[in-house]
Amino acid sequence: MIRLESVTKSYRTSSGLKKYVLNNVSAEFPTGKNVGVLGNNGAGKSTLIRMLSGVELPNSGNIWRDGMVSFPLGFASVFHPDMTGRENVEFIARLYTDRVHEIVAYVKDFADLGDYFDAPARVYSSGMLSKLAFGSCLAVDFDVYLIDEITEVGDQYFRKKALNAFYERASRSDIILVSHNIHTIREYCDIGAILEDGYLKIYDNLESAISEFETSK
Amino acid sequence: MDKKQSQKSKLDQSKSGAAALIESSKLFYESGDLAGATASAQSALAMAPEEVGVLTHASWLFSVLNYEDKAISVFRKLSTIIPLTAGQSCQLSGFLSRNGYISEAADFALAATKKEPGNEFYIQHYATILNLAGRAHEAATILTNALHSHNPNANILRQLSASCILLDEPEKALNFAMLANTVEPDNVDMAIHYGNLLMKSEQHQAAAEFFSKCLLRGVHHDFIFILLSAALGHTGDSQGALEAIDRGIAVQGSNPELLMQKGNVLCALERFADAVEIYKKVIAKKPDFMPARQACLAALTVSSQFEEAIALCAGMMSEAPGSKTLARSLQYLLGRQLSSEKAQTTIDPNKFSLLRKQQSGIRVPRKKSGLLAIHYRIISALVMREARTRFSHSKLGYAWVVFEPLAHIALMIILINTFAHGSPPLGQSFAIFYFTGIIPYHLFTHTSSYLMSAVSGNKALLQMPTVTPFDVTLARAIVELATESFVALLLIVGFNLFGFEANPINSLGVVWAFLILWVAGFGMGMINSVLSMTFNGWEKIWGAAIAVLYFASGTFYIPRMMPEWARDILVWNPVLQGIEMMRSHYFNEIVPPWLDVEYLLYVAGFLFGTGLLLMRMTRRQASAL
Repeated sequence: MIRLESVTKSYRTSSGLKKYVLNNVSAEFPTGKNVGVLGNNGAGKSTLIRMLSGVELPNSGNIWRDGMVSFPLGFASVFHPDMTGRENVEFIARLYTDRVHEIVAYVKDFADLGDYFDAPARVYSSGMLSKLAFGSCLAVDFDVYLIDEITEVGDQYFRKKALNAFYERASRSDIILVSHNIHTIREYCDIGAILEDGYLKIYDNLESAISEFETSK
Repeated sequence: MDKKQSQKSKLDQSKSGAAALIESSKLFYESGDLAGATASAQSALAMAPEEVGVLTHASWLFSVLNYEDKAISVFRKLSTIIPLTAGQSCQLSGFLSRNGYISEAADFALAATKKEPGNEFYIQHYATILNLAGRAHEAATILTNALHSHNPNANILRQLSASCILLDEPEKALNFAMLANTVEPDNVDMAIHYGNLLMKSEQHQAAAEFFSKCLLRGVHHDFIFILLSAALGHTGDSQGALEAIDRGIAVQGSNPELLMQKGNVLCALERFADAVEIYKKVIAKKPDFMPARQACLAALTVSSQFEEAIALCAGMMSEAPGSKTLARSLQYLLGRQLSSEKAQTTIDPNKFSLLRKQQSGIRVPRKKSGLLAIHYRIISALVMREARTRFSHSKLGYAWVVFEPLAHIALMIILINTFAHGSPPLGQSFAIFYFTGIIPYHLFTHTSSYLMSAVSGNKALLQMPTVTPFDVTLARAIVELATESFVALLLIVGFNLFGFEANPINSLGVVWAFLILWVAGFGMGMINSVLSMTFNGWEKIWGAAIAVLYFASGTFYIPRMMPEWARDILVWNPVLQGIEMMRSHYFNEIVPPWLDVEYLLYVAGFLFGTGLLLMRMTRRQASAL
C-alpha cells in the first residue's frame, strides 16, 4: 500500500509558469491491486512514479509506504556506466537483500545478455539496459513494482517474458503502472487512476477510469 | 453357398485343405463377410504356414483390410521364400515405415524401384521413406534423376521440395513446390505445401495472394481457408483474417480446425470474450484437443473471467495432475480472483494489512531486517561501488594516488638540496618530514573535493529510493579515508625498506589527528557538494582555495619558522592545526604552544554539522536532479 497525505508537488516550466503535478492530493494505492495510472504527456506521470518510489520528494505532504517499494523502472538508467552489468546487479542485490549470488544468477539468466553481462554498462543499448533493470527489479522481489511506460522495455519477445514473470508474481506483489497507452493498462491492471491538472483520482473500476480518461481527451 | 460347398468337397484333406480355405476366404471376401475371410485365411496360415499361395493371399487380404501388423509378418515370411513383386514390396514398405521400421522399409522400397525402374510412384515412395529415414541427400539425388528422365511429375517435385527442406535449402524447396503447383494447379496437397512454404519463408503477403487465387479457382479445403486467414493475420490484416476464416466456415462447415483458427484471430483482435465462445465450440466438438483448452484458458484469463478459467484449469489438472504449468496457472488465477473479489467489497483501508496476511498462503514470508542492518547493507554496497568506480576512468588512477605524494616529496627534497642545506625542522630526514605534511593535507583536500561531485555525479545512483544523497557522500568519504590510509601505510613500509626511520612515536595520536582531519574534510566536502549545486563557479573557487591551503598549512615548513605575525594568522587554519597535531605525535618533539586540539575539534565538528544541515536543507533539490 502507498498512501498520499495532502501531497503537493509543483515545478516551474521554462516559461516561468508554476505547474502542479499534485495539488494537495490525498489518495491511496491499495494492497492487492494492480493500478494503472493514465495521464496525458506532461501531466507528470513520471514525476508521480518517482515520488511514489521516494526518489523525489514532494513540496509538502507525506507519502507512506507499506512494504518494499521498487525503484522506478523506466527511462532513466540506474546503472553506473563504468561498472559491468554483473557489478551493477551485485550492487542492487546488496542494496536490498543479502542474496547476492542468487540474484546475479537469476538476472544473468533472465536478461540473457550473453557476454555483455560482463561488459561495462556504457556499451549497452537502451534495450539491454532495460532488460538488466527489469531483471534486477524482478529478482529483488519487491512488494510494489513501479513501472514507467512498460511498452518501451525491450523487444517483443522480452516483453512477453517480463509479462509472464510479473504474472507469476502477481499474487504476492502489486504493480503501479504509468502509461498513456490504454492497451498496456488493460493488459496489466485491475483498477485505474487518472492524473490530470494536479489531481489524482483512483477509480474502483478499470473500465470506468478508461472511459473517463477517453472522454476527457 | 452351394458352389462353395461343392468346390470344397472336391479338394483333398491335408495340403489341399489350406488351398480350400483360401478359396473359401476369397469367397467370403467377395460376399462381403470380412470376418469370415480373415478367419479362413488365418486357418489356412495355421495349416500351411510356408505355402506361397496361402501367404500371397493372406498378405493381400490383410493389406486390403489394413491389418498392418498381420500384413507385415506375412509379407516378411513370404519375402524369405520368393522375391516380392514391386507392388508387394511397396505395400510392405509403407506398413513398415508407419510402424517405425524405417530402415527395413527403405530396403523394400528400394527393391520395388529395382523391380520396376521406370515407375514414378515407386521412386516417389522410396524418396519419401529416405526422407523419413533422414537420408534426404540420397532422396534428392534419386528424385532429380527421375525428373531428368521423365516428364514433370508433381508428386516427384513435391517430394523433392520436402528433401530440400530437410537439407536446409528453403529457396530450392520453395522453387520445387512452386513447380509442383504449376504442374497440378488444382491439387490441394500441392497448393497447401507451396503456400505453407511461402509462409515459412515469411512471405505472408505472397502466401495470402496465392491462397486467395486457389479459392477463386475453386480449390477448396479446410487448410486453405485456415492458412489464408493465418497469412492475412501475419501481414497485420486481422480483420481480413477474420473474414477469410468466416468464409471458410460458411463453405466448409464449422470444423474444429477452422473454428480454432477463428478463435485465434479473435484473440489477435482482442475480442477475447468472443474467442472464448468459439474455443468452447471447439472443445465441445473435440474434447481431448489440448491446444483448444489451453487457448480457451488464456482467453478467459485475459478477459478476467476467472471463475470459468479456474473451473477449466481444474478440469485440465485432474487429467494431467503432474503439470507444473497448469498448477502455476491455477495458482495465479486463484490469486487474481481473490484480488478481484476484494475489489467488489469496499473495505476499511486500515484493514488492508490484515487482508494481506490472509493471502499469505501464496505469499512468501520475508525476513524483516532491522533499520541499522539495512543501513549497514546500503552503505557497504555503496562503498564497494565507489571503490570500484573511483579510478575506473583510467587505470593510472591507482598508481597516481601513490605517486602524487611521492612526487611532492621528491620535488621538495630537490628544491631544498639546491637552495639550502642542513637537517629537517623535525625528525631525521626531509622525506619523512614532507610525508607527514603532504599526507594529511591530501586527506583533507581529496576528501573535500571528491565529495563535491558525490551527489551531482551520481544521478543514476539517486534513482534508487533507498539511497539518500548523504549515503552516497558517506560512502565516498569512507573510500577516500581508506585510500589515503592505504597510501600512508604503503609509504611507511616503503620508507622502512629504504632504511628511513619512518615509524611514528605515538601511533594512536597520529591516527586521531588523521581521523579529525578526515571529519573536517568530510564536512567541507558536504558543504562543497551543496555549494557546487547552488553556485556555478564554486568548483573553481574551491580549486584556488586548495592551492592557497597548500602554502598555508605547513606541509613543507613548520609554523615556528614563520615570523610571529604570519604564524598568528596561520594558526587559525584547521588543516595546519591538524598537521601540527599529527607531527606532534609523529616526532619526538616538544608540543608547540600554538597547537590547539580543542579548536581543531570544534572546527571539524562545525564543518561536519554545517555540511549535514546544508544537505538536509537541500535534499529536495538534490532529489530532483
